[in-house]
Amino acid sequence: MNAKSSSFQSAFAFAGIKTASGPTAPRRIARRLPVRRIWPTWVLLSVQFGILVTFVALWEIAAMTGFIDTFFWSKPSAIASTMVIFFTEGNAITDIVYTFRATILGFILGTTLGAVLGMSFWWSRNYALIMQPYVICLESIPKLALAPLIILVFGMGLSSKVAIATALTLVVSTLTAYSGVQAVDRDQEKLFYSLGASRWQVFTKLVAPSCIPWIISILRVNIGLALTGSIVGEFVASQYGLGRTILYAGQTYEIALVWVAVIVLSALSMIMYVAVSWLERHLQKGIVR
Amino acid sequence: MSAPMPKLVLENLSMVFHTGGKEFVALEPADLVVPTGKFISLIGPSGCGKSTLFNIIAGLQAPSTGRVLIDGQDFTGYIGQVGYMLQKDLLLPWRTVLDNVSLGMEISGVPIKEARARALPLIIKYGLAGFEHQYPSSLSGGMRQRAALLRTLLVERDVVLLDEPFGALDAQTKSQMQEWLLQIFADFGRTVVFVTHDVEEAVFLSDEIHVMASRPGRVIETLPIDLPRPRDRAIVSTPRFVAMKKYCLDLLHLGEQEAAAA
Ligand SMILES: Nc1ncnc2c1ncn2[C@@H]1O[C@H](COP(=O)(O)OP(=O)(O)OP(=O)(O)O)[C@@H](O)[C@H]1O
Ligand SMILES: [Mg+2]
Repeated sequence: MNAKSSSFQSAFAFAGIKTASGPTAPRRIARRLPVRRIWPTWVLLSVQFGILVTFVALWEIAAMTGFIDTFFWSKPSAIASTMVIFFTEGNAITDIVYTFRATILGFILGTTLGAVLGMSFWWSRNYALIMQPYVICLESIPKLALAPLIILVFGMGLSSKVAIATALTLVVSTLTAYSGVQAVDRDQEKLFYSLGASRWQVFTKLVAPSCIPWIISILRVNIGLALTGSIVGEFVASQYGLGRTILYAGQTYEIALVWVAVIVLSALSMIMYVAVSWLERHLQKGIVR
Repeated sequence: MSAPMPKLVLENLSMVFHTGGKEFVALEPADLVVPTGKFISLIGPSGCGKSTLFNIIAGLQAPSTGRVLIDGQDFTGYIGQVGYMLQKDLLLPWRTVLDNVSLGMEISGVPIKEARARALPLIIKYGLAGFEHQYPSSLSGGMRQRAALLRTLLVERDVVLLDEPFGALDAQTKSQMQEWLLQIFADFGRTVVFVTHDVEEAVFLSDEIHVMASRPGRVIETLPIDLPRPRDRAIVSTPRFVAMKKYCLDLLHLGEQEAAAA
């Protein structure tokens, strides 16, 4: 092999071609591909846990030594005991269910309506062109600014929270689904028509499946938006819910309770995240079958 | 006794695009007669209107003038009357090979189960055995073309349009695919119109070649290829084959020189 390569080199040299190992070639730096080794799961988990414990401990120590003012920041031990009280004595479950229900309903309504609306633009270029300025207008309105109005129209109850959460998720979903529609491969559409397909067949067998990845991408964003919508609705006017709990606790300087409600809200959001990940896998399988 | 009716006739077919106020003649009025069961090739430089011609035959574009007749009936502007394999394979990434191949039948209204049952034996017979439940992303270029071609054939139209199906393949795969296509052509007995840039491919496969030139797109010559079938690869080095190939190449060259002079 060595002999062969050197004879090649001499052939090049003979032809007047400079080879890399020739005297004029610059010295090459010998560098290996960087190796990225992933630590075992237990190591990662214990580091993660360590960071959490350190953070909580530092907070507690800072509160004890008077480095931070517990009136504004509270402290982990107080939050923990408030958490126990919140779950044992108050009507925690009512509040959690209230916020959760508004969020889920708003999420489902906003995402579904948005996806349907966005995909409906595929059916007619004229309809899409006519609707375009309105959709852009709706997008530019700060929806949360309308919250007081929505409460007036829909009342203090659950429906107003659902409406705000829907308003927040609907427009994003519409725009994303419409982008999905626009990204459908023209040639693929041509193929379908060359096979004699009807518009309905093109829609169900090509447009809808190609939009699914786009719709999946909205799901995660919409969790946060729907939760924001229902909490803001509760801030404006509500008798129940975690948002109302936060507002009430803040007004009465029960900072530990604010933290408790925030922690519970984060937990809710994480549960929804897990549920959406599960849904994603099934949707993806759905288009794949 | 009158001559049998040709399968496909193009009458005075032309295409002029109007872009930005300017007229662009993509295809000068062309007449083409394709007898039943023949293999016809169109060769010509890029941009001479080959795909445009196919789009018109497939009903995806309205011609500026002229008609498309299939079995003597006017089908200008009707879709779904011919099998058309576009320049790309266009397999749907979310469908398995089997379901991709069944797509055409599914669209014609064949129940999915039956469509699969009809597609499966062909998938196995024509070199995709073991891949029927794979997704297109795991196929090689040659296999993707096979799947796309089977999808086109399974819609059971008498006329099949193939737009440069082997353009992107390496030389070895290409010659395998050509032999495979000849096999399929013999088995299915369809009328094929084939587009290629590759003169040797055209001579090897066809009964007749139409040489086109660009600016404006037009057919400059038609030559029959009366080589016996079934054809073997060895034929490419026979003097007759070489002479025909050279003749085509010269024509193409001439067309290009004219275009450059114009
Ligand atoms: N919709 C259109 N509007 C304007 N011009 C077009 C349109 N479609 C095609 N053309 C032009 O018509 C000419 C012929 O295009 P066509 O795609 O038929 O070429 P082709 O022979 O298939 O080329 P290739 O071998 O590269 O595929 C090209 O110059 C192209 O720019
Ligand atoms: Mg083309």
